[in-house]
Amino acid sequence: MLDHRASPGLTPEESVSLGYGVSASGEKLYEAKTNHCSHCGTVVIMNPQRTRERSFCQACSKYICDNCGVSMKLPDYVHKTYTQQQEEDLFLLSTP
Amino acid sequence: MAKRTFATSGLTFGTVNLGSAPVTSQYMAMVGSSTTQVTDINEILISGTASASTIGAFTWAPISVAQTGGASALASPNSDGPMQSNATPVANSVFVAAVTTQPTVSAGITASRINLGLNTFGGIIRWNAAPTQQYTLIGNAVFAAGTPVTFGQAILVNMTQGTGASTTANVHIIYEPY
Repeated sequence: MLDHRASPGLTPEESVSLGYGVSASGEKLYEAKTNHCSHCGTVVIMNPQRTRERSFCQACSKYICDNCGVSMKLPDYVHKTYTQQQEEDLFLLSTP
Repeated sequence: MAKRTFATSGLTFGTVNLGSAPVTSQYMAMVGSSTTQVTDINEILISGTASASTIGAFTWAPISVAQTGGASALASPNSDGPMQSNATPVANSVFVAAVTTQPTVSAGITASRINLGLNTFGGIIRWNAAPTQQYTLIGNAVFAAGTPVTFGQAILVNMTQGTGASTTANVHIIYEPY
């Protein structure tokens, strides 16, 4: 939630520069859906004007970000969700 | 095991380049309490308090080089406490200043950052994680790229990148160590 109702808000250029896209510019309340990449954990603001296909992992049946979407197409790719990485990390940390 | 709020009031957030350390008392940092501590970041709210139109390119990012000399204790009006009375006291190290050198903001291209830019002249931004979509720290080590990517320290700063300029704001971060 980005509330600029009591503020001059962002110019379209500033809005793009900050990574929101032009729809967040102006003196208004801007709310955006975000998604969590199932593979790397990053939070992505969904662009409502996007027409290209979004990446999706059929193995975990969840949204993944564009970067992970590209990685997933590489021949040596090993599928591992963010949760699996966290569990492995915790296991490594707790193993003396 | 309870949600906690790390809050600051009236801090000046000078701008900092990714890969550099911010100036003391111009950031909000968090470090896990142990090597196996899991911490969910559930919400970040920033209320801009600038007296003229100023873009704050705030970002929540992993720390790549830890502070040195130890973290300085918070001073009023800044605070960190449980959101539930009589909660079990599991607390991460939270600070806005370190004794010797300040923590470095990761510039890693695989570092997950949350974009929290706004016009701090009256603007408010609130990022609230949906269930399972929290930003999660594990352990208390700095960011390490690779497989898996690991990070147990994170920091809120105003980036130079993204048209950020030095500004003031009141902030709270709701988190849950467990």
